[in-house]
Amino acid sequence: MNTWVSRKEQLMMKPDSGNSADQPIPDIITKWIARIHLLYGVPFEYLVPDSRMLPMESIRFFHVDENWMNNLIDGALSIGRVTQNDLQHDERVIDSLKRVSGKKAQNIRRQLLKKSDTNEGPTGVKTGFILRSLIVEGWPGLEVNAYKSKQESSLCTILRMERLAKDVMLCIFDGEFEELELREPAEAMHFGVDFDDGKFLKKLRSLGVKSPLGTQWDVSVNIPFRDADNRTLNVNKLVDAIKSKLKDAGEYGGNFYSPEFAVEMIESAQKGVFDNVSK
Amino acid sequence: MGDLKTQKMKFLQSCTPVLDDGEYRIRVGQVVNLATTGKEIPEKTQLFSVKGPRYSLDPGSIDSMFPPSNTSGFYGNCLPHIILKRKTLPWERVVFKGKTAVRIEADVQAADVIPWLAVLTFDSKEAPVIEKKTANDILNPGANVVSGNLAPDTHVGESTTTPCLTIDVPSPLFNAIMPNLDELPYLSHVRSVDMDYKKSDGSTDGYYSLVIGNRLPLASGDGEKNVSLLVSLEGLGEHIPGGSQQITDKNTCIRMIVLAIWEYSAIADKFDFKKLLENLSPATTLKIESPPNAGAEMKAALDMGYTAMNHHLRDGEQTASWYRGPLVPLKVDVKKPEAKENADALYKYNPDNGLFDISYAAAWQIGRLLALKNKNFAIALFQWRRGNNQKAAFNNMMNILKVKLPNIVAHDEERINMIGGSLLHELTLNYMQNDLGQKMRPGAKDNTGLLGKYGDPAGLIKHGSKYPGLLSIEALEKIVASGSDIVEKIVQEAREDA
Repeated sequence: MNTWVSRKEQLMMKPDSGNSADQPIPDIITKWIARIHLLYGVPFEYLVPDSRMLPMESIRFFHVDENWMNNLIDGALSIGRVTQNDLQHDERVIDSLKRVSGKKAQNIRRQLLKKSDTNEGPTGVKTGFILRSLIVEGWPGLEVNAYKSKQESSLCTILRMERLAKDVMLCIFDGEFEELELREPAEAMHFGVDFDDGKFLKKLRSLGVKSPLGTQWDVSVNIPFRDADNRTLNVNKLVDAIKSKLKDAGEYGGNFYSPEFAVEMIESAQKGVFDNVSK
Repeated sequence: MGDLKTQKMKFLQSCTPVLDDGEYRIRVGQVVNLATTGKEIPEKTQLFSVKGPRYSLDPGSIDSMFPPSNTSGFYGNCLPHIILKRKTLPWERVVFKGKTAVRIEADVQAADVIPWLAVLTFDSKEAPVIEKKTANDILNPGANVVSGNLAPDTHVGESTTTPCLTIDVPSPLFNAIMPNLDELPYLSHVRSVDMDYKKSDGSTDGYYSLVIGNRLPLASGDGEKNVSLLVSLEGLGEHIPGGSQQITDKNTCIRMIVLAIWEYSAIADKFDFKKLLENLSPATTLKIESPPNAGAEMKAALDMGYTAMNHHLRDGEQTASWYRGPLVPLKVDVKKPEAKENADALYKYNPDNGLFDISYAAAWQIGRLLALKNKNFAIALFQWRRGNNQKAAFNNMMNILKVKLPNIVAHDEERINMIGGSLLHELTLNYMQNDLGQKMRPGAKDNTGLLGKYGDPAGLIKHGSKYPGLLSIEALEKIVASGSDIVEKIVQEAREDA
């Protein structure tokens, strides 16, 4: 076929065509795609298409498939894409669009937490977990730590942590983690008793006489109540019971007043640790 | 969060105030022993009063309560407590009438400093009505009601009309749930925390006082409403269990001042956090566990996170296709992003079993739907792309010209960038008239070059009336200078030339 511009000439033209002319990507575009990076707005059925993947009371780890994300972003860019020129344009910009918006995704949670933006770029790998449990409902302040490795204490940044349903929570991290720790919120530290096999008990802690203060023992006392409904504590009897166990264990230091009582009665923030099996 | 590992907390038994509430007088006198003056320096007296909360408590002096107000949770095993920002508060007043507070010197432990505050917990059936009353109703409670008979201290601004919130608790309930006198000291303590790890508004020095309840909330399956109250026991000492004048008459109520109220709903559950965590095991990846009878191919697909979905094909046929969402159970290799014309381009067909993998097509489609839903994004994207395309088209033309007409472009690059639009015409005209023209007809003075008097490389000269700018400046000048019928003359001129 005869064309006005020969093949040879086309080759000569190539180096200059394209993106040097592109205007900077408007903020509104990259900001919106940044949210897409963290799957905001993607219906839950697209994330968990089958309920067998996420039974009641389960935790499931995942990697984010960046190819899926690429196609998701390309789909978003496809609106108003009519001509071959449009397609070539998008082909040319999709890489940098993804990079720039991916960097912005690092700051979405920071902005929710009213923290200043970070300049730290993403690692390029996103991982996370979905938790479906009564924990999500009962512990709204649940704290999540994803340790990069079991040996060190450096954490993966949380990019998104959100309750998707009453009992479902989605958490996306930047980077890969080896160990995940779920813990009760520190502010929920409170006083209470344990309930086990239909009995109210309290596991005791050391008071620092022999072992370090606060060490949890496997020794427990039965909680004495004043009433048949088991609601009003008999504090005096409880104190006597705790004292006698402490004496047995050689942990009684001669004083047992309100601070000692508080240490024994604290329900400390519980935590659980999971190995990341998807790594 | 990770910092908590190192956060330290100290507990103290109590923190008694340096001065009791009341009015004080400082007298300053000075005696001068100098024989010569004989003058005395006059005495100076300064009055001041110490006033702590008595009939009400400023909500700002409360740090927090547990269970948190207006929440619901598994609170059936907890002892409600309140944290106060004032470290001395529980020991500022005295439960026994007419006694002053016991002062504890530093490092001296004493079990008999009885706090005047207690946390009482009621379920919705037994919860007493909280009433608005005045100090007078505490001083003179009336028949069948026992109170602390507190006299308002006029020196610190209290009067019989000072408002307060009160509850009247029937004596059987009071005797059942009120901590014993000798239990009360166990239920208040002071906690000091390292402020480095907390947000600080400067309202505390890191010392807090805590009052713990002695009663578990009532919990039920759907959540049971409970209320916890911080009450004043000032003056009620003898009536508290363990005191010398306990109320045995069933029809008598005990009136107490309420300083703080918090309501919450306790859900009964046999699980605690630890058990719930244990129940999550085994923690696995996001995929369907393959059934024992699954074939090798099926198992492989499920293990990679795929799900078989019903798929309505475009021609109305129905088939099953594999789908996998963005959250996958294993690490996948990332390919360079590409732009596709439509979602169908992303279908992956497996000829071995005749099934499609629609994962990425679905991703593309949902991305498109999400973008269509967001008008601002859609408009911004459209405008940005159009702007870039126009610019690219211009650059493309330039590149073609650079190859095809290198001389022209080299000659006038700066001008080209300025005019942009009618580029080709301008350029060619200029070139024909000047550069090339000069070479073909060297010495021609009229600068008309190859094209005669009026260059017309684009063949526009026949449409001169629409493009009057095509005439040379000199021709135009001549016409304008002639005065009348300018348009007519231009047209004529153009036609003449053709």
